[in-house]
This record gives sequence, structure tokens and C-alpha cells, in this order.
Amino acid sequence: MVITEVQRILDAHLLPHGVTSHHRKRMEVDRIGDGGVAISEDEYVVYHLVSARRGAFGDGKAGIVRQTLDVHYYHRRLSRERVRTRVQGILGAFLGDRRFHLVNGPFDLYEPDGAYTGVGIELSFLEVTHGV
Amino acid sequence: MGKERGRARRVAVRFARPLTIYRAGEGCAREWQIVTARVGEDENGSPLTTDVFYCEWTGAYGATAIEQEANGVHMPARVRLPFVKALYDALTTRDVRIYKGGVMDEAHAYELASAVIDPTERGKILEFQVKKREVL
Repeated sequence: MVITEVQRILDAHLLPHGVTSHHRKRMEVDRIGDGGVAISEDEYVVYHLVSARRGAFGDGKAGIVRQTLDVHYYHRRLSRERVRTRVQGILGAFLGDRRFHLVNGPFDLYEPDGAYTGVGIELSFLEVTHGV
Repeated sequence: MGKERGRARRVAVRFARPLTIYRAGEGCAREWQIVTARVGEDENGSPLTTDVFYCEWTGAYGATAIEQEANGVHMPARVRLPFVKALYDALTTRDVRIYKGGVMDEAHAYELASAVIDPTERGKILEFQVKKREVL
């Protein structure tokens, strides 16, 4: 499932730095695992599925699923260079998996209120399924 | 003010507070952590803790209880127990569950229905109101 894959990729890349990744909505975290890694209060990621389009190849047996998802990286009090490095790292983690493709971004996220500001990435996940 | 006669604290209670634990590859999950307090040390210097506390549990009755039930406060009670800092910190910062009789199941679960106060203002007693936690 794409959500599982996205969570796995983000955690592998960001969790050692204490950056948590949340599906649809950020949750207040008390502890990461057994508490070996400190939670970063200045950064977090929220991702959500935007669309899932399905189709079939000519043989009618194999199906294709193209899912589009947004990955939003939020930060506060960080330098531009550090933000740029972090975003490039996230992109590299996803594009290292051949199933993910960059559709749009990175782009700024509109957030007039709150202490955090964000950078967004739109990705597509292409997967062949057997049957429906 | 006259000296208040103390009632017997014979009702065992346990407290549990929610923690959001983040696990790699899974995201967030809520777990319930039992609140414990240090009561001393053993002969080796290792800490001794307890998670069972004894309190004075006074249920409401009569017209008061009927009025509270009408307002959606089910099985209300007043709880008094000696001041424990770990309990005070948990009760004032978390959505704590109180388990009457020390039995940790939904049938014995209560939740806070008021603020936690120290009526003596000397760090001696904790007092708060509870109501039955409804499972919808």
C-alpha cells in the first residue's frame, strides 16, 4: 500500500534526525520508539493521498494504479540552506525508489498563521497490480 | 476552621495516562501508561514504586445525583487521597483515566469531571471529581 511505503521511506530518511511524518494530520508525539531519538519540534512532515487512477494493459489481466500524493515538509526557525538540504534529501529518498516520480515541486506552502512554514512536493506512485 | 474528620481511605484506584508513541514505519499510536510513584528504596538502593493508591471515594446521591445525571454526568463521585506529585502532574496535564478498585477495564474506568485541587493548600491532599467514562 502506498501509504505504508511513504511512511517507511520518510522514517528511514528523517526519523534518525527526530523528524516525524504523519498521514493527513500532525499528531503531538510524546516519544519516538524507546526514546533513543529526541523529537524535533522545529520540523515535521505531513503527507496525504490526492488521487488514485486505475487502468489496465491490453491483455486485460495486469492493472496499473497511478496514485498522486503530496508530501509537505514544515519547519520553523531554520536557515534556507538547511531547508533546501532537507527537501533535497526527501526528494532523493523517494526518487531512489523507481515507483515514485516527481510531478510538481518543490513549491512554497501557503500558511498565513502559525509558527511553521512549509515546502511541498507532489509525487506520483506507479504500480502494476494483478487483477483489479 | 474546625478540624475535618478524616474518612477511611479504603478504595483502591489506579491511574493511566495516554502517550503517543511514534514507531518507525508505522507512525503514531496511542498507548496507555500506568502512573507510578516512588515509595522508597530496597536494600540495594533500587527504587520501589507503586501504581495502586488508596482514596476516599464518595459517590453522589439524592437530588444532586439526579440533577447531574440529567446533565450527562454519570455516576459522579468525589475522590480524595494524599498528595502525590506524580499523580498531580499527570492529572493536571493529561487526559487521565481513573480505575476504581484498581481493575483496569472499561467497567471500572472513570475520567476527571473537575479540576484537581489541594483543599489544604499545603501539599497534603488531592481532591477531584470524577464521572463514569462512557464507551460509545
